Parts: sequence; C-alpha cells; structure tokens
Amino acid sequence: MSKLAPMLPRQRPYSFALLFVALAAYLPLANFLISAESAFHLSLFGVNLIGQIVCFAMLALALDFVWGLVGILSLGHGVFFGIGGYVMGFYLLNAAYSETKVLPDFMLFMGWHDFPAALRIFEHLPAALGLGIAAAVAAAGVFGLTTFRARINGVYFSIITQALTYALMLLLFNNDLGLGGNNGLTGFTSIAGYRLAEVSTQVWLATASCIALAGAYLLLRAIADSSLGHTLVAVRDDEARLRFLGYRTDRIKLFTWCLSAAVAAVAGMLYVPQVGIINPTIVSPVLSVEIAVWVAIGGRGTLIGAVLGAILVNSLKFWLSAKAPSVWPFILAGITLLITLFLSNGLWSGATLLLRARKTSS
Amino acid sequence: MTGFWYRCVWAAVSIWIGAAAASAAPLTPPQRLALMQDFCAGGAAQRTAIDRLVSVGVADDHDWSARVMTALRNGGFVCRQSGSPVIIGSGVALDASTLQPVGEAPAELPYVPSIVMMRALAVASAELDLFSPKTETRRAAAAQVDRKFAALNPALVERALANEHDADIKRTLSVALAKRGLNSELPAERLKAIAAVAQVPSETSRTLLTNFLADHKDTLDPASVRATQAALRTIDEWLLIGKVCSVLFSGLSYAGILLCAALGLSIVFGLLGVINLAHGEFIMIGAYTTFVVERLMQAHLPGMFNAYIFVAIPVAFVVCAICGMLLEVCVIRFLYRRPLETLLATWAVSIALIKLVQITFGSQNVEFITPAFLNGGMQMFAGFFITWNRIFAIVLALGIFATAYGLIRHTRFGLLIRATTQRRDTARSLGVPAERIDRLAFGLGAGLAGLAGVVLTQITSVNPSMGTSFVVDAFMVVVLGGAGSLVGTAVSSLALGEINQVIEPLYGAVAAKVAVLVLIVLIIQRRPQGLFALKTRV
Amino acid sequence: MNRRNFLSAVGSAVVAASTTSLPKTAFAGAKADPVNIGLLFSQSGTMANNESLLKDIALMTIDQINAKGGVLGRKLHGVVVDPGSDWPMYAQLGKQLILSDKVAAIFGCWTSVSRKSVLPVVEAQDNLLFYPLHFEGQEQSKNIVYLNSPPSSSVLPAVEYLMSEQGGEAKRFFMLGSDYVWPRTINKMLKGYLKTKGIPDSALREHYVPFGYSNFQTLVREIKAFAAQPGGQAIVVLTVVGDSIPAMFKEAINQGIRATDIPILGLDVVDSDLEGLDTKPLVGHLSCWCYFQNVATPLNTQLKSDWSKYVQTNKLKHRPDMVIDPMVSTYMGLNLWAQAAKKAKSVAPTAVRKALAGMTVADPAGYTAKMDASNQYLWRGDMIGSINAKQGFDILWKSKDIVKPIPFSPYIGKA
Repeated sequence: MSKLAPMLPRQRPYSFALLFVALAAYLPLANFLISAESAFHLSLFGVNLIGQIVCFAMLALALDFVWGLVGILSLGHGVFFGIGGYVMGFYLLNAAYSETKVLPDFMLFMGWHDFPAALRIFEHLPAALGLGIAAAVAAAGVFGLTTFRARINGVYFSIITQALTYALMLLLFNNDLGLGGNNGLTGFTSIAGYRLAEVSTQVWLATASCIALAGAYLLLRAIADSSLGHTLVAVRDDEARLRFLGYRTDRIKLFTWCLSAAVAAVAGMLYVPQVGIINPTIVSPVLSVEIAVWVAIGGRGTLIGAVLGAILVNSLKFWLSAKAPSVWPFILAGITLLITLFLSNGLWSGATLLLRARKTSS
Repeated sequence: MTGFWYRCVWAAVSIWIGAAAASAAPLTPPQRLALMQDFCAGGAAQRTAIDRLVSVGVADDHDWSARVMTALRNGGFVCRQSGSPVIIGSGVALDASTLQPVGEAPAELPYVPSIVMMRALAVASAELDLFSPKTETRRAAAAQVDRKFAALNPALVERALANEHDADIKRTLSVALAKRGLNSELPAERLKAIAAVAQVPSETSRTLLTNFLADHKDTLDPASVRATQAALRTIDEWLLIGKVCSVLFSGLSYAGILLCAALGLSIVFGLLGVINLAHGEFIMIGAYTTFVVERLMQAHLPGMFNAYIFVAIPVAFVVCAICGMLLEVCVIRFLYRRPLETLLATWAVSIALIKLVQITFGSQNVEFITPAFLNGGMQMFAGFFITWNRIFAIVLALGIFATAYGLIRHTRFGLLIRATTQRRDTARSLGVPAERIDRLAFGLGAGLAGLAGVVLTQITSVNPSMGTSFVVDAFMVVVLGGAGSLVGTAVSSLALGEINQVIEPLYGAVAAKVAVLVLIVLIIQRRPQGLFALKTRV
Repeated sequence: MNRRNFLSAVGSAVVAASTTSLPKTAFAGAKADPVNIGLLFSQSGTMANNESLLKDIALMTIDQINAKGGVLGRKLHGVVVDPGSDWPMYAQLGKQLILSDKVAAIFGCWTSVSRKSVLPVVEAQDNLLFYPLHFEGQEQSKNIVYLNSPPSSSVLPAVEYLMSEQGGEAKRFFMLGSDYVWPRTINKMLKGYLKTKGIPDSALREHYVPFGYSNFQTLVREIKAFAAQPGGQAIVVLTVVGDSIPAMFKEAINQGIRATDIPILGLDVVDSDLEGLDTKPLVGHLSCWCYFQNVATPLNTQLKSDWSKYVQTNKLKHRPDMVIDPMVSTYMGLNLWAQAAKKAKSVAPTAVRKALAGMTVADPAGYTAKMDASNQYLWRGDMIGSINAKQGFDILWKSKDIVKPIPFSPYIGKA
C-alpha cells in the first residue's frame, strides 16, 4: 500500500446509508405488496439472496475498517463471522429444541441424551446476541493484545490470521468437541417465536440485515471522519512515527480490531438464519481471503467501496455459479488481477478520482 | 478356536500323506476330476478336497496341484455345472483335469473364496510350495509356514526339511518346528520354543507368550515361567524401541514433505518478499506433470516405465520453473514492494489454475501406478515397519535440499540471489541485473515446488485442490524457520514434522495440527523474524 | 456519486429479481414445456469423483426416458448445478432448484451431511429428494425417497458374515471412519449390535479422521498392533469416504495388511476407489452394496453397454466399463419417478409421492425392487463383494430376495 495515497475526499455519509434503508423498505413491499407477475416483485428466493449478500457486505465493511483505514490486513475475518454465526446457531438450536423436543442430529449421533447445559446459556435471543458479540470481541482482544504488542504486522500478521482460521476450521470439523462437526448446526425451526420457513420471517430478516448494514456504515463512517479516524489513517501510513510521537498505537489497533470483530459477528448472526445452516467451511481460509478480495475490488479505505465490492462480487457469483459454474473462477481471477494490477485502490476509488478529474477539468 | 480346528485338519493331512506316499504316480484325469468335483460340491467336502490336493501335490502330482492351487487363490478356477472345471490363467482357459486348452471361456463366474477359505488356501499353498522345485518359492513358503507355525503340520514340515538343501530355508523351517515345541511335554523343548519365539520380537510373539503363560500358569515348571517372563520383558523393550523409531520415522517422512513444499517458498519469500498463494498450485502442477510423464512413458516406453519418477523430476522442475517465471513476468513484476497486492493477485492466479487443471484433467483423483521398487516395505524389527515410498520421499527431500543449498551457497547464481536479497541497491549498483535475478529466483522457487509435487504423488492423492492444504503448512514452516534461510526451513520442518507425529497417536490428527499451529503463533510472538532470521529486504 | 451508488444497488437487486421472477405455471405447464429435474451432484471438491458419475448416469437415464416419449407427453430436462462438495451450498442450490428452476424432483447428494443440509429445504418447499446412497438410517421424511439400503439391510448382514465361521469368526473390531454423521451413526449402531452379541467394550476401537484425510501411516500401525493383541480375530470396519479410501488402501498395501490376517470391511468402497491401485495385495477385503457390476442379468448387461456407449459418445472422463451401485440406484430412481408420474398423471411432488407407494421397478442386480408402502424406503437385494485382483469386486454372497428395510435401528440405544 503506497504510503502516499491521497486522503480521499469527504463523502456525504448519510446518502449512502439512506440507500440501504430504502432497500430495507423496498424488500417487504416487493414481496408482500407487489404482485408476483410484476418485474419488480421479489420472490422468497430473491429476498433471501439479497439478505445474504447484505450480510457479506457488512463483513466486507468490517474488514475494510481495519484494512483500509488502519492498514491491518486480516485474512482471518471469517473467524469472527463464524463466531457470530455459531452463537446464533446455538440460539436457534435451543429454539428448535424447545419447540420440537428433539435433539439436533449431531447430538443424536454423538450419543448424547440431553441438551447440553453449556448451550443453554444461549437460550434467549438478547443473551445470544450479546454473547455472540462478546465472544468475537474477546477472541479478537486476546489475539490482538499479544500480536499488536509484539508489533507483528504486514505480511506476517496476515499469514498468522490465515493459520488461525485454518486451526479453528479444523477444530470445528472435529465432532468430539460437540459443536456439530462436519454436519454443522442444522434443523433450525424458528427465531424469536417466528417460524423460519415463513416468507415473512425471511423478509424481515433481510430487512434487518439492510438496516444493520446502514447502521454499521454510519458508525464506522462517523469514527473515520472524527479525529480518531485521522489517527487511524496515521497508523496506517506511518506507525513508527506515530509511536514516537507518544501514541499508544497498539491500543488504537486493538480498539479498531475489536470493533471490526463485533461488526463481523453481527453480520454472521444475521447470516445464519437466512441460510438455515452453519458449518465449519464458513471459517475456511479460502473464504477469509475472498473477503479481502471483495474489499480490494470494491475499493479499500473508502467503506463504500468495500460494500459495493462485496455486493458486486457476490451477485456475480450467485448468478454465474448457477448459469456457468466452470467460468466463474476465471472471471473472479480476472477481475482480481485487473484490479490489483491497474486499479490498486479499487473500483470505487477509481470512479471517484475519475469523477473528480472530470469536475476539475470542466 | 480355529487353531484347534487347524490341528485336526493337519492331522488328517498327515494321514493322507502317509497314504499318498504309497502311490508315486501322477493322477489320471478322471482321478483329478473326482477330486475337483468334490471341491466344487461345496460344504465340508471342500476342505477335505484341499487337504487331498496338498497331499497329492506333495506326493507326486506337484505341478498340477500347484496350478490348481494358484488358480483357486487368484480367482481363476471356474466350477462348471457339467464337465470338468476350468482354470483361467493369463487369458488362457485350460481344462483343469487334462490341462489342455478349451475353446472358449466358460460362462460361469470363477470361484470366490471366503476369508476362511482364503486362509486355508494360503496355508495349503505354502505347504505345497515347500516342495516346489524353485528355491524362491520354497523360501517364501518357509517364511509363511514360520508365521503360521501354530497351524503347521509337523510331519509335512519335517519331510520338507529332509528334502531341503538350502541352509537358510532349513533354518527357517527348524525355527518354525521349534516354536511348535511350546506345547510340548518336555521342559527342554519348551525352553527352546520360548527362546525361538522371543528371537523375533513382535506383537504377535508377545500375544503368543502371554496366552501361553495364562493358559498354563498352573502346570508350568518354574524354569519355563521365568524364561517366559524374561522373554516377555525383552519383547516389550524391543516393542518400545520399535514404537519410538516408528514415530521418528513418520515424523521424518512428514518433515521431508514439509521441507519440499516450503523450500521454494522460503527462497521466494525471503528474496522477493512475495507472498505467493499460488505456491500450492505449483506443487499441484508438479504432480500433474508427473502424471503426464507417467502416461507418456506407459504408452511409448513401457520397458522403462518404473523409472518414470526419475524422468519426472527434471521435467516437473522445468515446467514449474517456466510457469513461475511466466507468473513473475505477467503479474508479480508489477507488484513489488506491494506485498498485500501480490497476495491477492497470486490468490487469483491460484483459483484460475485450479479450475484450469480441473477442466483439463477432471476433478477426480488421478491414479498413479506406483513404480515396482516403491511398493511395500520392510519390517525392521518389532513394531517398526518402514515403507519404501516414504524412504524415497525422505531421500528425495534430502537430495532436493542439498542441491538447493549447494546452489544458493556455492554457485554464482546463488551468490547473486543472496546479494540481491540482502542489499538490493548495492548489488544493482555493482551491475547485478536485479530484475533478472528476481525472475530466475522465482522460477527456482516454483521449480522446487514442482519437485515437491513429484514426491507427493507417491504418498497422497493427487487432485486439483491438493495444493491448498499445503500452502498454510508451508507458510508456517517458512515463518517459523525464518524467511530466506534454507537451514531454518530444514530445521523448522523437522521440528514441526516430529511434533505433529508425536502428538498424533495421542490426541489425533486434528489436535496435532492445531497444536502445531498455535505453537508457531506463540513462537512468532516471541521471535517475529523466525528462528534463523536472515537480513532481508522485507 | 449518489446516482452511481443508487444505480449499483438497484442494479444488483434487479439482477436478483430477474433471475427469480419466472412464471409460476411450471407444474401445470403447457404440454410442450419440459419437466425440470434437479441434479444436485458435486462436480468439484472432494466428492467430485463419485458424484459426477451420478450426474452423468442421471442425464443418460433422462435421455432414455425422453427417447421413449418422455413423461405425460413432456420431455424431461436435467438441471445440473455444482455444490462443490460444500454442504451449505447443497441447501442453497436446492432452494434455487425448487424456487427458481421449479424442478419437479431433485436427485442428489452422496454424503449424509449433504442430504441433511437439503432436508429442511425440501421439507419447507414440499418437494422430493431422491437419495441414491446407502446410509445410516434413523430418518424418515415424507420429502425424501430412500433408494438404497439402511444399515439393517447392508452393514449388519456383512458384519454377521464376518462373525460367522465362514467369515473368520471376528471378535474384535477396529472402527475407522471419517468424522461426520454417517460413520458415527453406523458405529453407534454397530456397538449396540455387538453388545447384544456379547462382544465386550475392550474388543472395540473407534477412531475418526477429518474429511479428506490421507496420512494413514500411524493408524495402520495402530491397526496392526490392535490385531496382534489377544482376544480373537480382529477386523477393520472402514467408514472413511472420498479421497481417504485410496489413501487408506495404499497404506494398507504398503504395510502389508492382508485380508487373510485383518479383513477390512470398507462400507463406502466402490470400484472407482480402487482405480490405479494394484489390488492383488487387497484381494479378499470386503464391501457391501445392493449391486456389484459382475452380476449376470440381461438388464445389467444392457445397462453396462448403454453406459459404455454414453461415455464414449459424450467423451466423458469416466471409465466406460465401470458401473457402481449408486449409479444403478439413480437409474432406478429416475425410472421409478417416471412411472409414478405416469400413474399419478401429474409431476407435482405430492401426487408423485402418493403414487410411489408400493411401486415396483426392475433392478439390474436381478431383483424386483419395491417401494415400501409407508416409509418411502426402497426394498433392495443385498450383496457382499470381495475385492479381486482386477480393481473390482467378486460377489461373495447375495440375498435370495429383496430385504425389508428398517429405518430406525433397534440397536442404536443399546451401546
């Protein structure tokens, strides 16, 4: 990352967030009110798809916050997404068990007779939400504390995050730990009393995801525009200098790292009820690298770019995986290569610069 | 218990031998037919038919018996609803009574032995082979008889001993006979038997002596009891040594694989500061190159087929080196001093490569025919068994390491690489073509990864996504050992390989891997530059 | 800027919308409309080897059915998707097949994990999944048609055989499996069964490896040590899947585990797993399925030659001379579905399901398979195969007639 990257022009944060609030309003309309024959109708499948993509966008947002603004490339953000997802999964298992009194599959084949007490703490939705965020922040904190203090950054940091996500994936695959193993957590029936199979529940989940994205964006944008935000950029550009000036850069990095983990965890928590299953592949090293790719394609450091990159890549992926599955990896590879070689700051930054150039020239 | 059953059977056989010894002429076709039809009838008659087959073979009609026996064991014996059974061997169908060719292959399916019949046939075949004219066959048979000494027929073995003139085979047979003395009445024989069993320590001999002690604890004399306990202690010591050696050996072979995979990465990462996430795919390309070489040699040079792996070594190196240099020229060259972009770009290349290979070769596992000299293994001693393919992997890994080390340390090219790594600008101002060195070094790194692929073809399954599992491991080795340091890579791969294999039998493969990863992370926190850090430009 | 943001966001919504707003009339379609049949088989990843065979034989069977005039005057169209051996992807693509492609039925899945991922989807949308693999039982959903045997019909007969005098009187069992639902459930049931036969816990070992694991060095050593201990004949019950099977066999060959010493009962081993191995040292190890390709019936000969022609005409990357049980189950399943649709005069899943009960279909293995009247399990015959030196199986034993499938094993709670 070039140290002399220009400070990007101040964007108007509210309009972008409003966009997702608008989308959030559109979704229930599109599904409930607009009739099925119209081109503007969204079926359950469409709504569900949008909801999942929005969760990924939130995840990309979280990564861009630490990467674009602070310069920490994490190739293991899947860990926090996964922690949030699994905690939500535990809550949903509790809900399913309360309703059906049948143990989840993985407990049955492990030979357990009762619902484990340890999972009972996730019985209520607010508790689960809080614990999910807390768990992600705690994991981030432990890791960040030791790593940032030891001043590991750059490439080594990225490799270590990959290794950790790989280790977590291996651990989760192991059935003996009682976390579902390869089977994952399945058999979800309802959330907060609403049946997951109902179209309305899915629509409201997707709407919630949009609103959460808007909220996260506003929060992170506010921080980025504040004086703390300037410090963050300073950490990215020249950490040593900042340290010599007396700033506790490791604490600053730790704070952003934990905040990013929290946002990623929330994204995970919204993702799982919409997909209906969670399994260790969510913390696979490959997915974590893909998150970085979304951010890189969209535009690193701009927050908006990360969201757009995630939406663009995932939409393409869902569309092409269905129509031409053997072509998708080449297209993704091609886009990534083009961006890294020619538009290293991503599509959004490129577009903004272009616009600014046109403005100044006219 | 089956042991008892076997003793009954072989008692029956020895009676038959006595009877058969009277006649010394080969059987006539009708006699052979009668014997085989008894066999085809099934049921209890089958087993007696086998015994008679052995006795006939021992006494006079050895050649015919041996052929029928081989056919029975190899799925080439076809019982027919009417007429003589047929033996099928190497595509030719013979009438089993007359050994004359029959016109066409029979419609019925060949006889498929059950497991119990397979065992009976194995022992019967060994007993028959003791009388074979070929020394090698007799030697193998003697070893088999020795292994199954509890089931052997002493009369038969003594007769074989009497006929034998090869010293080694005589010794094996004598030992086998001696081992039977365990159940003898005479204390002297028992002591000899205990000593004979303890001579080759193994889990089986341990079980045998333990059972012996347990079965006869009330009736044995003190000398035998002491001898058995002493023998058991010796066996246990040997078993422990065997276990330790096994662990060390597995660790060594795993370390060899890690070393091959990480060596190229170390050079590239140390020299160029480039994180190459496509490194695993170079390994995969090396493996697929080996596949192509294997197929070509199978088609055009079948005589030299077993050497395909040696041919594949330089070919894979060159192919991967070219791929590496292509990658450098097209992509990496533009991304120096931007490690994070390189990471993403190489990741993109890796997914494209995987898909490309998938489309060309299919996503199935690729079948490799192991060269003959790499098949099987050797029992070194108690509980310590080495397989040839892993020995080969270790030797190859050491060879690759030695070559790379020699290259880096003792050639001009290596000197230039080291110079460019440590002081790039100074080297350039002295006229070193740094960009070209970068390209060649990247090619070297990729070529070494290709060699790792060649080694892996004999150990793991080869498919388009095989590289992804090695990338994280290879990076961990490099990070721990210190980027750019070959010795560091060697030491860290050895350490990680051994630690992994020590933990694995205790807690399982997953725990071992996770423990190793966590260990590395902790060590890096203390010493971020790795164990053997080089001054590099990173 | 604002415009750009807005446009890009709406654009992706439109993309999503356009792919999903298809006419709803697919089930009661115009006479000429093809009937979509979903084919949910991986063509990449660790299950690709096996599942791509099922996809291709499904397409071949669809061609055959179309050549005979299709179903109710409409041609069948196989919709192929690739879940890439990623279990959540099976659920996602299942949803897509039902909601977006409006398939009348889905044929798919190999591993139990993938089936369990798709189960909530077909139940929520009330569609039908035809599942062609033998599995662990313990399941009975009205939205899944079980085309192959639960353990009562496959695993238990094989274990009984190995415990009999003919099979070597096995008394000690080393259970080695991949770590997921199928091996765990099979082993649980096996432990319960063995307990009722008086086998003590000390005679059992249970060990699980991750999916795709291939380094069996230490484990094979452990197996040898286990077998050498006193207590009777030891066998290995192998429930690893995918890439782990050839890796395990290679190690067994190298370290000399012969069937005469330690028989291995590989429950998921098919001919394709033995490709490229020199199987002479493996002769005698066992597997159990409802079908082995050596069986000599006219229907089987026909099927094998059809498959061979199909592979060669379409230049597929499969062996033209290899047909395995799951392929035959897929073939039978499609024919069964076609028959049921014709009988119900509709392709709607609810109608087809009702028509399936009690229906019979010819099995190339030489039996007449019959769909159970109530639990949607297919009654099949049972066979035990012994590995031969030609990378295939010889039939060691086969049941005289079709066997009643027992979905919920009585042995599960007993361990």
